[in-house]
Amino acid sequence: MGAVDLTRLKQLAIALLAAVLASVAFAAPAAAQDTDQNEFQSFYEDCRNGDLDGDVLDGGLFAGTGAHEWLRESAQAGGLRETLTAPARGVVSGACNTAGAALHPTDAIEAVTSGFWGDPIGDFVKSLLEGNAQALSLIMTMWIKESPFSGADFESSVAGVFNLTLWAQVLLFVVSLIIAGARMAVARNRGLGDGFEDVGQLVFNFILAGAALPAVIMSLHMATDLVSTQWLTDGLGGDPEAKINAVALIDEETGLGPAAVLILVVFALLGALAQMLALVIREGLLVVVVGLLPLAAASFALSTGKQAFKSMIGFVVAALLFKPVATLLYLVAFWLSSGTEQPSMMEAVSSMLLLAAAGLVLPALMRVVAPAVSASVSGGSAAGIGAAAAGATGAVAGAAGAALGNAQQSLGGGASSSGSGNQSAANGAAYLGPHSSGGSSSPPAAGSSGPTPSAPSGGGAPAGGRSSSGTGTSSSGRVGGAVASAARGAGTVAGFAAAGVGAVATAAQTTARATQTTEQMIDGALAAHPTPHHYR
Amino acid sequence: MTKKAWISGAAVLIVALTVLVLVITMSGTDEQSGQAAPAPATPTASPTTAPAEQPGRVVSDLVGRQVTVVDAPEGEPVAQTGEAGAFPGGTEPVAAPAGLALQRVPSGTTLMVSSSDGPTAVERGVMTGYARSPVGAALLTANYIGLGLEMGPVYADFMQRFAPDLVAEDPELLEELRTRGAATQGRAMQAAEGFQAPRWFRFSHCSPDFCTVEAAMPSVSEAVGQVDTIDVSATEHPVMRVSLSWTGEQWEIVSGRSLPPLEELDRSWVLWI
Repeated sequence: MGAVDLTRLKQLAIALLAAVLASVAFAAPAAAQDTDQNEFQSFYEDCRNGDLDGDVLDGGLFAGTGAHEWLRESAQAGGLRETLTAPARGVVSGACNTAGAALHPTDAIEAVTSGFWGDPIGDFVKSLLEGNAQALSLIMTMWIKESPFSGADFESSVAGVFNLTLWAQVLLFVVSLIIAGARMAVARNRGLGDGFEDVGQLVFNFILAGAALPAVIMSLHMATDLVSTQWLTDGLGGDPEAKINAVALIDEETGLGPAAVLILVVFALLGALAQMLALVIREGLLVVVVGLLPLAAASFALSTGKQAFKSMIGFVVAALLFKPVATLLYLVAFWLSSGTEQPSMMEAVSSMLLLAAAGLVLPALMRVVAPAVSASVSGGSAAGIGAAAAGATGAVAGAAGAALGNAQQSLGGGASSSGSGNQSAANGAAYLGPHSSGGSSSPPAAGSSGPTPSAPSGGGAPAGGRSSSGTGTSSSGRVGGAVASAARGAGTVAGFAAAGVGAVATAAQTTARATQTTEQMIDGALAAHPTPHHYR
Repeated sequence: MTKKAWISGAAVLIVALTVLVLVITMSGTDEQSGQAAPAPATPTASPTTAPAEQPGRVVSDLVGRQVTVVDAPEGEPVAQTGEAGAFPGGTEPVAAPAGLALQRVPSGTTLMVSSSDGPTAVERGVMTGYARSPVGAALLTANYIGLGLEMGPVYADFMQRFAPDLVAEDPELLEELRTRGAATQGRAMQAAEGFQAPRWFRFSHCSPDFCTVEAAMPSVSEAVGQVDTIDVSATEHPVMRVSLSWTGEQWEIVSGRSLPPLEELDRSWVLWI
């Protein structure tokens, strides 16, 4: 099945959904299910509450609660009160319906639902509705009860995964360090700060993922669970499970025919299934992901490892946000249908769809959160992991640049082969500057011991003083300049020195070619870290 | 969504529709369509005698039964012309008594009397003299249910008489009942307007000393047809279970509770009226 078929499938699904919504919208007038109650419904409510001409005339018996509440509370009262009220509790609803229908037959009949509800179609749909109610009840139980993976279980499970993969973490960490070191070697001509940043981020991520993140994620996990439960309790006012289940959903009294309800209930069942999957995946996979985070962090220098780390962080954030966001959906669904005793058709349909849609929150969050997390993680040390990480890596890179600048100055002073390395260091500082919030990595800091990017490339000349050939821009040119300088040496010592330097320069030229090849190879194979344009 | 997800969704939908078609195909011929409520099972016994003759205006309730409007708030016993019924062996059905009749009292609720098993008299505003028989216990049960919607002084007197042990737990509650009756000028709860007296009875246990009676009332659809009911199904029958013990002089209510309503009544239920 190709892309065209997939598009058609999408169009079909959208058309189906649109048809359902349209049928709901246009069937509504026929069922006369406005939020305003008709006379039959008003009578029923008054009758059940014991109202008489707008007042509850009970002589104090109902204690101002109305007959319905008082009778309901009496069911658990025991003794005389329970026995005294049993007849009323048993027959009031039916009797009020009967009396209301006898007094307002038109209002009672006009909302009569499709005759197909009595047919096998209706029976089948009723069984699906019952199954949906049971599924919702199960979900609410899973939702509200404490997670089996929380607390000590969560911590021990994460530790178990961590321990199982410890050898792989160490191995990958070492490999990553080697690769990062190789990249530093490759990049020495362009700026070692880049490489140091990679190393710093690698080490920081590894420590963060192994030591801090499990505890932080577990705390956030428990916190989001508590917040969700609290929101449910506060928003619904009472027993959340009972209230959500009381969102009548759709039945034969909603006004829809069984065929339309069938489509809706299939959607609802799929939503319920998605919710259960999301809950289980959230709990189960979170443990595995948190346990494997150090593994991904250890391989951060690899493109695969970096991608895995970003994906895992994205999943963790989405999983943590899942419950609160889905809780808000539950609340909206409840509020939509709790305005009247008998929710209107649109309210019932909306509630059912919203409850079903709660199961789609996790994948939706994955889509929304993952790119944001990916962008933030890949945005360099400063934006990705945090300002602290940025400061740390920037400081390390800045110090490295300064040290290299000093080293090149010394080399330039001794052999007059000038400061090509200074340019690299300067460029490294320039590269770090825009990405780092660490003060010590800023260009002035790097320039304190080495020239800034705007300075002439032969920044080392003042220190070396005697050479005029150190301004070459390419590696080979610089080497050639060094060789020529050496050939022009006057003294024996100087000649030996020049010869030695020339030999070193030749070796450097060879190394430069080799490293160019290696650089291309590693860049091609790893494609680990895109080089900023201004650096090239 | 990925292609795989769309395919999975479509597959589930197709399976659901296929199951639906199969269900319709396999069971579509043997059931009636339309809105008729499911009829209760055929009773094993039916009334064999005419209602007891009694003074008063005759009307009918919503299920078509003859009801006599009486002036006495507590109901009016009719002359006893028949013998009280015998106790059943085990759980065998108990047939309807002779001269069973319904009365609508001023509060608006409906009571039940017979010409064979009582009640026979009125004492302190309460019909008394229910026979020591299963029918006597059932009649007391029916009137307990009916007066339960009166929720006023008559019900208070009734409970004082037939549930003295329970009343002793909280006598003040009966005073609240009387106060409510005064506030509503003797009117029953509004639900009484739609109350249909019990029509089916069965006995899970009944001996001369203890009897447990279950009474089922007509459904809403039997009274007013298929309507858009609220909170309850139009076709379900409210059910009450009342346990009574014989104290030497009369039946006394030990407990009364409403049971989950029944959509269909099986053959253990007997249509009385």
